[in-house]
Amino acid sequence: MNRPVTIVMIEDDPGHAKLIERNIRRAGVTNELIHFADYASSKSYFETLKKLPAGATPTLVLLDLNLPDASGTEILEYLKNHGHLKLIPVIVLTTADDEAEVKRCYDLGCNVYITKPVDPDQFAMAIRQLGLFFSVIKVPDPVNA
Amino acid sequence: MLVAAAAAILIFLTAFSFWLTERVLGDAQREDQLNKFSTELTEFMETLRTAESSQRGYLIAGSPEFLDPYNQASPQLVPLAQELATKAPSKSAAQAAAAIIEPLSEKLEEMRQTINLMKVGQKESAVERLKDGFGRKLTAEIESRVREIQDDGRSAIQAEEAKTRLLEKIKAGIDAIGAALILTFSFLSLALLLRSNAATEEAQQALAKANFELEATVAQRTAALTRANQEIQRFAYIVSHDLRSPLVNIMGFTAELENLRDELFKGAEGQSIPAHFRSDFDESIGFIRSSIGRMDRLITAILSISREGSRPLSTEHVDTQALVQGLFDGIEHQIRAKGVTVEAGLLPSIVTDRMALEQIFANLIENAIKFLKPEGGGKVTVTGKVSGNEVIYTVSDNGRGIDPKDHQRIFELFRRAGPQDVPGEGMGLAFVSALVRRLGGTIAVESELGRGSIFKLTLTRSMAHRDRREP
Repeated sequence: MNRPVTIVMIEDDPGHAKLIERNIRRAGVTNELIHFADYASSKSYFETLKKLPAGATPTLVLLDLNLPDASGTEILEYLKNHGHLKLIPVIVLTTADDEAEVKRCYDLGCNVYITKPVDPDQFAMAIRQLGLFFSVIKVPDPVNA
Repeated sequence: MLVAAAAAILIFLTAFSFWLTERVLGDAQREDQLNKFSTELTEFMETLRTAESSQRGYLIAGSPEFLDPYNQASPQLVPLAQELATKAPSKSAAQAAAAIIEPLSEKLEEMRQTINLMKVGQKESAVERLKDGFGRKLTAEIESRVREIQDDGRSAIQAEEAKTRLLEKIKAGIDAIGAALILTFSFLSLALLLRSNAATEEAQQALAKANFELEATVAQRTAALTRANQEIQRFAYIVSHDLRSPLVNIMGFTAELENLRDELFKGAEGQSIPAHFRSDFDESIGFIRSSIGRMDRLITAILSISREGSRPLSTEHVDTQALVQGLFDGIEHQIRAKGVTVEAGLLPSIVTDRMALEQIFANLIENAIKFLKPEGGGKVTVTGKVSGNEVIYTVSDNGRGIDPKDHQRIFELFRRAGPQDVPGEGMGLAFVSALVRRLGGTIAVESELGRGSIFKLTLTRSMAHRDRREP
């Protein structure tokens, strides 16, 4: 019944994207990873996803809050307001842990909020933990949802 | 000044009137005197004529009872004439009166002779004597002298009167001019008063207008400042966000390189790689890491200041004594480890934002302990007192002190003073200074190198009970 989860990463900084991907892979996560660098391109992907039946493609979103064309919270809002897309778990990644922003993200329905630390070990640790998190995560069963 | 001028004119007019009145009175007295003298002259002439007609009556009738008036009048004449001479009101009159005596004596002699002739029966020669006109001539002369004196007196009176009249006219004129001047001055004063009133009113209106405009200007400036402040904070936020992004990459890929290090050198084993490559590599990575760490702390500092600036303040009653004691308790291990004596005097409580006050004290106390002399015996004292509407707290230490040339600098962001032997980013006092400003207070430092420092914090006793958010 469980299909492999597709990880959708929305991150405008290619360096960050690469680091995240490497760390995830290093943590032993082999799931498919799709990378979008901006809001618009990710949105068209989600539009397609929306038309598929719920649970056809189990998805997890890694979302950077600072995007060139929109604030990450807009994507969050979009996801949480469009049918079965709201079931997709969202992990917010950001560079600054602004209290107000964190609160807003949780209010909008984000599941995890991770600050990108500058300390490399810390960063690697956070991402690897994320990897462990991915491997044990159970994407909500759309049928029972 | 106008009033003084009016008063001077009034005084002058009064004095002049007084003098003139005295003068008119004097004139009247003189006139009276002249009139009396004139009467005396007339009396004298009457006496003379009485004596003369008595003489003639006797000569014609021959009976001795006709002589009675003569006998009565004639002895009075010379004393009368002498009296006239002494009583004369003027020099010329006196001369004229004296000049009467000579013809008078001759006249008296003539009358006596004729009467004596008649007495001895020589009526013919007595009448003859009368007829020759000598006696009449003398009488005429005397009369003319008397008239002269009278005319002289009359003209003197007239002159005096004319003078008085002239003076009275002058007085009337001066009175009129004075009255006119006083009136003019009064009107002028009134006009000036009205004008000054109008000017005052105008000035008040201008002031009110200026005040109003000032208020508008202040509101405008405040809005501009608020906007600028907002912009700076947004700027700080964006900058710190965006600076962090590349930093994450630098750090992340440095870690990636480090991960490759062992494999790199392992793979190259056996080949001729100089031994120092490995240590140079590690050294380079070390510098990159420490720089990134420092940069990250600086960015965090900017971010926290920008955040503190936008945090809404809330006012509450703060027991400063307890707050400072709590801070001391929180760093007790540090205090004990360094052997520092801490002391808090009686600290007045205050109505302000608790968190800001706590951060201010925490930074000041932490700094005081941080920069104590390494040889020990350090002491940190917190005092407080109420001064009018303000509370003044001091945090003093006997540490290494701050060069006066750095007193300004230490409050600037990322600036530090003295030997850089204590870790820190130069953040604390900049943060304190920003907080104090937000609380509407001031902070100053008194310090000398080697003599310790005193930080003096002045805050309003009760911060206005409203959200002093400066966005």
